[in-house]
Amino acid sequence: MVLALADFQAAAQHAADGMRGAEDELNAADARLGDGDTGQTMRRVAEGVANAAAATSSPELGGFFRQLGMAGMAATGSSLGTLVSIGLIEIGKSFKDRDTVDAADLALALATAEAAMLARGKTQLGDKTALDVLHAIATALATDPEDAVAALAAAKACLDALRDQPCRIGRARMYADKSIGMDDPGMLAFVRLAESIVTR
Amino acid sequence: MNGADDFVDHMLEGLCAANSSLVLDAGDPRVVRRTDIGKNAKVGIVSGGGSGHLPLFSGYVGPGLLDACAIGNVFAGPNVSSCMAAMRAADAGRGVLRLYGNYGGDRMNFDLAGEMLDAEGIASTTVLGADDIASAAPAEASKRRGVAGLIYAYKTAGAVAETGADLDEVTRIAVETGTRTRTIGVAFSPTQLPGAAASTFTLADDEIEMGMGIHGEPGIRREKSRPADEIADEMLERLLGEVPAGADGRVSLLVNSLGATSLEELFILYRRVASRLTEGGYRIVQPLVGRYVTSLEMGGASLSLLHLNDELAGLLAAPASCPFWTV
Repeated sequence: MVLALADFQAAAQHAADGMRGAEDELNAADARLGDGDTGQTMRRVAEGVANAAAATSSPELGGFFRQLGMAGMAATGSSLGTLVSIGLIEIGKSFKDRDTVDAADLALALATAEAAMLARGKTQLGDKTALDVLHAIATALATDPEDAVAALAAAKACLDALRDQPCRIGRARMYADKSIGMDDPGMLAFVRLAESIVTR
Repeated sequence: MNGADDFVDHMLEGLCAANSSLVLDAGDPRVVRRTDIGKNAKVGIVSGGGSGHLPLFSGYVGPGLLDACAIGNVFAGPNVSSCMAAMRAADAGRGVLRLYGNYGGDRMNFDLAGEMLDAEGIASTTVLGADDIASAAPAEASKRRGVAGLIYAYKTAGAVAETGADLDEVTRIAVETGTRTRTIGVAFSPTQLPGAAASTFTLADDEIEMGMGIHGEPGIRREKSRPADEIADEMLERLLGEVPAGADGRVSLLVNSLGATSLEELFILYRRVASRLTEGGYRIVQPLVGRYVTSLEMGGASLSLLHLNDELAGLLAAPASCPFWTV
């Protein structure tokens, strides 16, 4: 599988469609312990990223992903949105001077991005955050870069596995006990993102 | 308000319209800067955070205080590009201090902005306000949230920057002030975010919550309301349980309304706290009573103590002016 600008532009549009569709669900998930804006945040970020993607014509993917990251940052001040943007910028570093990449390149770039996002978010795996879902996806793709369906299944399995764990970071950590049994809104957002891209 | 989506922008436009010393950045309407910025080659000081806390953050932009602020949506951090725009506005070639409260989202965005501008040759440092003693134990003081006491660091760092001190010195003063500042809050009633269907938390009419944070973060204890003197005594006792090394008995005392609590109630608290401090051998310098750091219309108050030394006392007394604090 060879991926080029048009593939990533299409994925960005699918992601924006997916986040528009999931906005109310994500807001509701966040409202249980937070301020109920995760859906709105993710829609704004995804739309900003999709608009930047559509506006790009240069085939070089490093600059393309950096532009997507900058657009994501301009769209929100929320931690989740900034983390997504940091991930896009990191992918851009991995794809510098490349016009095409293959699935293995993408899997490696996701793993690199995950490390940068963990460092920036001062988060560890198991804290019940969106990065646990990203880790599940990156791990599945490291095993078989071509099998996006398996990666999506791993994302959903991660959401199921951590549902009954307490949240350990962010504002929801103050309600750690109450968070047991609830989906973390950021994790849910990443699962919905993966769905919108994989099952397009 | 006119609408939840316009809440922040309309607020900032009004703030700048009412105060000729403040102006919105030409390139970013979420950045408030000094009108007279750039006249002196001094270290720049930026702050910022979510909306909903006026006069914090942008109300403290002015000579002897802050140079620029990046403002986010209500109770949400400013975005990275606003942080960068605020730092660019404040930079006069001598570096920039980023001085803001210890919250994850704000930290992530300001840190990233700092790294990006570092690549452009703008040197910067970070000092985090972490004065809320109710938000973590002393052993984990670095995890504490920044609340009302942050304005003391604005004042002293702003004053030393005006003297022409370099970035290291301005940073040192901000750190020193932070390590000598203690705050505790108490909530009487909740607030509601613009556009939200419900309050951020619920509290019965006859209940108070000791130690609540300025976004409604849970505090130490929820209990039946008590007379003001009893509440004041407990708050002061907690603050004086952590007197920093090098305190010489001079303190500045800030009695702050979280939004809805009246000046009358604040002075009733001040009366008791000042009396207790004096009995305990403390001398109060430059007391502040009023709305300095709020949480929209939350009912409640906070007490902050800055334990002074000669250096900080001099900087606290230095001239400064902004729409909400003039020395």
